[in-house]
Amino acid sequence: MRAGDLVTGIAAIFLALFIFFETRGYPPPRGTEPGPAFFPMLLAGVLIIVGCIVIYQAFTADKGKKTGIGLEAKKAIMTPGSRNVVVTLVATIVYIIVLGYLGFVPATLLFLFVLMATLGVPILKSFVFSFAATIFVFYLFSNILKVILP
Amino acid sequence: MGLAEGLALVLQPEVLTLWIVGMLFGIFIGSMPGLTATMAAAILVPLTYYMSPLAGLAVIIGCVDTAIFAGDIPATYMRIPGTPASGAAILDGYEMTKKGKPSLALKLDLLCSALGGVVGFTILIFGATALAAIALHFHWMEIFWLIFFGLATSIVVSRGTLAKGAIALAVGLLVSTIGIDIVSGYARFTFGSTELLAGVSFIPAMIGLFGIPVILRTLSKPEEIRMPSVMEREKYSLASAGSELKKHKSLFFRSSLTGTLIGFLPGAGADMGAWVSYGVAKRSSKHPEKYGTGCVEGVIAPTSANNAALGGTWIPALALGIPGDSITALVLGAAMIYGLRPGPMVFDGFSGSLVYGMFILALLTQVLEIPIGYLGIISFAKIYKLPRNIIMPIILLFCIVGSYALRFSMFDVGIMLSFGLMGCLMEMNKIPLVPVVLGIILGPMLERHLRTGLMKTGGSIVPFFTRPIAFIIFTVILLFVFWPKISALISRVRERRRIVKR
Repeated sequence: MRAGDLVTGIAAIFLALFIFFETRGYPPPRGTEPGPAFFPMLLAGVLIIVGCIVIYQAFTADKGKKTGIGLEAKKAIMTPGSRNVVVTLVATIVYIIVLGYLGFVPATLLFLFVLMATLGVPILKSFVFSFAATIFVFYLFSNILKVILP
Repeated sequence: MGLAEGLALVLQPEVLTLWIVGMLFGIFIGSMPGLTATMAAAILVPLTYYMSPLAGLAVIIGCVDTAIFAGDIPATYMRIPGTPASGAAILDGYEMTKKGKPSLALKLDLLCSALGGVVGFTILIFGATALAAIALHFHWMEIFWLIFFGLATSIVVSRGTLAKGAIALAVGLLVSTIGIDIVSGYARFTFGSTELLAGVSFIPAMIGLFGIPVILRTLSKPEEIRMPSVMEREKYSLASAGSELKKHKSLFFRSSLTGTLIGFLPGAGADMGAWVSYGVAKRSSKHPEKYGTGCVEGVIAPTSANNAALGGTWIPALALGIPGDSITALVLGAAMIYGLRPGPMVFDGFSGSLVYGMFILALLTQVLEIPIGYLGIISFAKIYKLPRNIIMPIILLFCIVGSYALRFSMFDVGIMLSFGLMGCLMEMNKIPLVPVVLGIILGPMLERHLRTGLMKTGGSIVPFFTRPIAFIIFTVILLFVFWPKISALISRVRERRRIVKR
């Protein structure tokens, strides 16, 4: 049995049920116009059918083999590089939050420097590359592309 | 008459200079993850109002056409498509990079893009009026099936089971329904959020889905983190890429033709041309299992089709006023300001010389694209040789700022990150990512054509199957999706007959 596929199939069916639930209050069809709920409900129907197929395939494929839920996911989490992944995600979220308070240039400089230094780039090199990249991106977006940066 | 006048207008020093500047800008914008050809055209259109009509169009056409190729550079190096039309280029281009042959992938890509564009625009120059007449026969139902064909292709070409691909596609189509419904004006799945009223933009979703998993996967391997971002084990010259292309010239012509044909149908654009061409090439190949593993054929098919389709998209845009994609819409908008009048009389008078001038510009752009694109490949190869622990944070920054820049919205950055995490989960469970993106891009068009088609038929689905062209496209889709099963059935029947004869 492929546990990952089982989860995928069940998730698809739950998503379809949510769509059916959510579209209950949508305006009804007007004349021959099928209405705003028509297309999402059609897709929900498709999701239920293919979800059942994926669940069936999860049970029939790799018969005899036993795999745990999210085995591949576990493998990815347990690698020595998981620290890098966590640091990157946390740094990105913190960067997005502080961008509005610190302003683009200081926040970006700090974000790139911390990330590069944590990923093993020597301190001086981290500073040079993060400084150059920040100035380049700021100039490109702000001056050439006329983007109003935070 | 129109052709000669167009050529005279193009060969002016002002036009030529601005044209090359536009192309260089296109290479630069297209190569940056997060910056698209549409964005480049949107920036340039207001600037061109100060130029002569043809100079303005030269800048826009030069920029857009080269940006479509340049979008394949980050797609091949980092698996982040620079433009939606580069989506299909990630399949084998990126796999080739993983094998240490990025220069072969990109140089082959450059030649196919340029020559595919030449085929597309040559057909356009000589057959524009005839093709426009055919395009007029495509109505709501036919276009619905055509869009459906593009979506079906994304499932077929992706690695993984058809059912999982269908789930991914349904999710993408559902995401496309978020926001104000254009037909009824009703807000769907917005959960009270004002940002969601405008829907989920596909650019941040595409950057997140493809980019974030690559970044996180690369950083999760500390033993490889100090290595160059792109490893080049074998160097290939443009000539060796040319000889590879020569070996597959029939595939190249078939793909360019498919791209042009898909492009000239109303509503279809360069992205759909690339996907359909890749799908058709895979289905008709003797070794379909090689596709998606970094094979030469998998690079030739989509890259020759997307630039060829660019030519085709001009047919419905000029004859019917329906642009195939957002880029053509922008260029058409600019051309209309200069005096172009879309409709049956588009090829007559001043409008006609402007049209042929544009065609010649576009055709010559394809030729000039080879040296300018080559410059782009060499420059970006140097950047991507930097260690992964330096490049990945910078790419991540581009993903964030590129997503923000589209609508100046931090909400889009959140969308990009959410889709990125969804992409990681999907990859872990071997669910293809491509159908999600294509679903988001083509979803609104599919729904509009289905609902309007149903309104025209009084709510009956029957004409979707009984109108001659619609029926043909529907049959082709069935054959396309179920071809492996059909061909297995045919060979089984043949085998039985042979046994009976003996």
